[in-house]
Amino acid sequence: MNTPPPMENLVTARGLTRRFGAFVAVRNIDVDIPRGRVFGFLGPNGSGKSTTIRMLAGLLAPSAGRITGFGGIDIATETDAWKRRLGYMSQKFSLYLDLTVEENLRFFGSVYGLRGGSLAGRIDALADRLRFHHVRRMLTEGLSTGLRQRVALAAALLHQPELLFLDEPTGGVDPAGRRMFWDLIYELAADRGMTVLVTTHYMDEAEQCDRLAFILDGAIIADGSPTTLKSHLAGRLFEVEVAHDAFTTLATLRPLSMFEDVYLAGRRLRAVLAAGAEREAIARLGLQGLAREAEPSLEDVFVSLARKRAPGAEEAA
Amino acid sequence: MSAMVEATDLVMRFGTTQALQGLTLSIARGELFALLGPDGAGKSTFFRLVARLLTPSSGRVQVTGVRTFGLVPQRFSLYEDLTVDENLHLRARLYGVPDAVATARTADLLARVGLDRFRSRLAGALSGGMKQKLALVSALLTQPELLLLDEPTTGVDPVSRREFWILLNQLHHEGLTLLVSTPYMDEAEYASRVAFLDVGRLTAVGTRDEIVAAYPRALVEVRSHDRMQLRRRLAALPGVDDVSLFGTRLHVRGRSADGQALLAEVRQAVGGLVDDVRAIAPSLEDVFVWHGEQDARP
Repeated sequence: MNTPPPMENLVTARGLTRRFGAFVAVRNIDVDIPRGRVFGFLGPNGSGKSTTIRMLAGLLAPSAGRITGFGGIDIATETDAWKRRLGYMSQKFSLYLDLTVEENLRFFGSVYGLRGGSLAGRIDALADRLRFHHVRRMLTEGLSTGLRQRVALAAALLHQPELLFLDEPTGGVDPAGRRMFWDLIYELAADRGMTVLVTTHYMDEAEQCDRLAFILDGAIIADGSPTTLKSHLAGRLFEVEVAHDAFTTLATLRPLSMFEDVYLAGRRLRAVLAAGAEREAIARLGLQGLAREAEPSLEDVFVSLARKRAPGAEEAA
Repeated sequence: MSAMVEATDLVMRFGTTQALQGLTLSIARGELFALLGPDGAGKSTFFRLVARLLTPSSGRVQVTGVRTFGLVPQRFSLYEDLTVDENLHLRARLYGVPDAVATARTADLLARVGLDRFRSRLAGALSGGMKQKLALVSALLTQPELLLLDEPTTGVDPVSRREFWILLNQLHHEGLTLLVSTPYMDEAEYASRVAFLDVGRLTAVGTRDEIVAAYPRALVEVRSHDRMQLRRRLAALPGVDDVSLFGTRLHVRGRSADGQALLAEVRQAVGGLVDDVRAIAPSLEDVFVWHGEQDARP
């Protein structure tokens, strides 16, 4: 098996801050994006993920802090050189709905200075890989969410960027479409060394990232590999199989202060012990023998971290 | 159990597109029924037919014992420039809910979803999760017997999603009939029954256990840090039909139902490179991947 190459940072940000009037959307973030890896930003709605991504992409100027990368480029002084090296795709990213798929791709290609045979070749290759040959002559407006998303990804990849930004790229896309999308992202990172920065609400997608940063109220409160993040909950997650009336059991356990969270996953009831609560407390509930320790999912980690949010903070959403 | 929603040979055409191609499906009172399927499978069309917002091209859908239904659509459809309270007040008026009843019910429902602190906020200024909770409250205001939810948690963060589902579980527990479509397979695990829809046809229907039991292939899970390289190696094995990424794990699907043979083949191929190899039962996501491949879609 190949040893992975040593981590080299493609982009480095220090003291990154962004204010909108009196509101501080991002406060004093330090982040290193390793080359050739898939890096995920997680956090609740309105936590500052998109603002951070937009600053790293050069679409929004920071109020304070510095971003450098690609071997010495400073985003503040060489914004155009920066932007040429990256691709950007967001859920809200607008293809021109009144143009055909083909016209959209030709247009975005020409913006990046591609033309003629090389542009046509790249469009062909991407249409092949992302399976949208059959709609190339259709108006973009008539496409399903999943197809539009694949075309938008193709538009972001046409100029073969070193760094790809994906801002909630798979919202509203069905599971098969999400799989196809992620297969390609992985291939690009593994085979071509492309670096990917992604925000997502799907924790199964986050689980596939090499590295994650969890943003809450504009600050990074946890980061590391998915396995590292999950170790925060080690020994605190328990699972009980409930045969009848799972909801009554849920309603009984939920208010107990020994649990940070209790929820249903099908017929299984999953409970996270509050930090500092004793495991013996499980036995006192009469659940001994029924409850077994379970492996936390990244979603469990997300919910646990998001609960650290200051009371009333969601009002700023 | 009596049927609340009974669809028989339901066909819906839009121009030359056949959104539903002869759907027969029965949903009983008190069920939490999940409708799954890829984009364009006909899920939203089915919702609209049940809600009588569309008339079928042929066949019929009979809804029994439902005085009013609630609908939580995929897209937020309340007034963004009205406050939470104003939106609910308007809806109560439109549906003829008496003022006193509406006031009491609004207070109770908003408290249940944790929106009572935000009554005077403009709906447009709510977060994605809060908007969906408001849409749910609005749909419940008329005390429906049937609640239709069309991908209600798309774009909602995991905390709000979990809170939203605890509410749906509670409503189900209280006896409400719920029909929900979702792209999240873990949400489908909550359902009493599940149906897979593809290009306007039903490809599977049953309880979670029934659906999983009908999965026709062997499945092996492999954990490894080097997923991409391993995936290619496994996909090239003669007995292997598909290798899918599941987080940090790979799900390897055999060409037959012979689990022992598949396990042996995978073990031999990975040698000592891998932390963990074991035979597993399929999840609903495996079933979804499988069904997605069975129909050659355009």
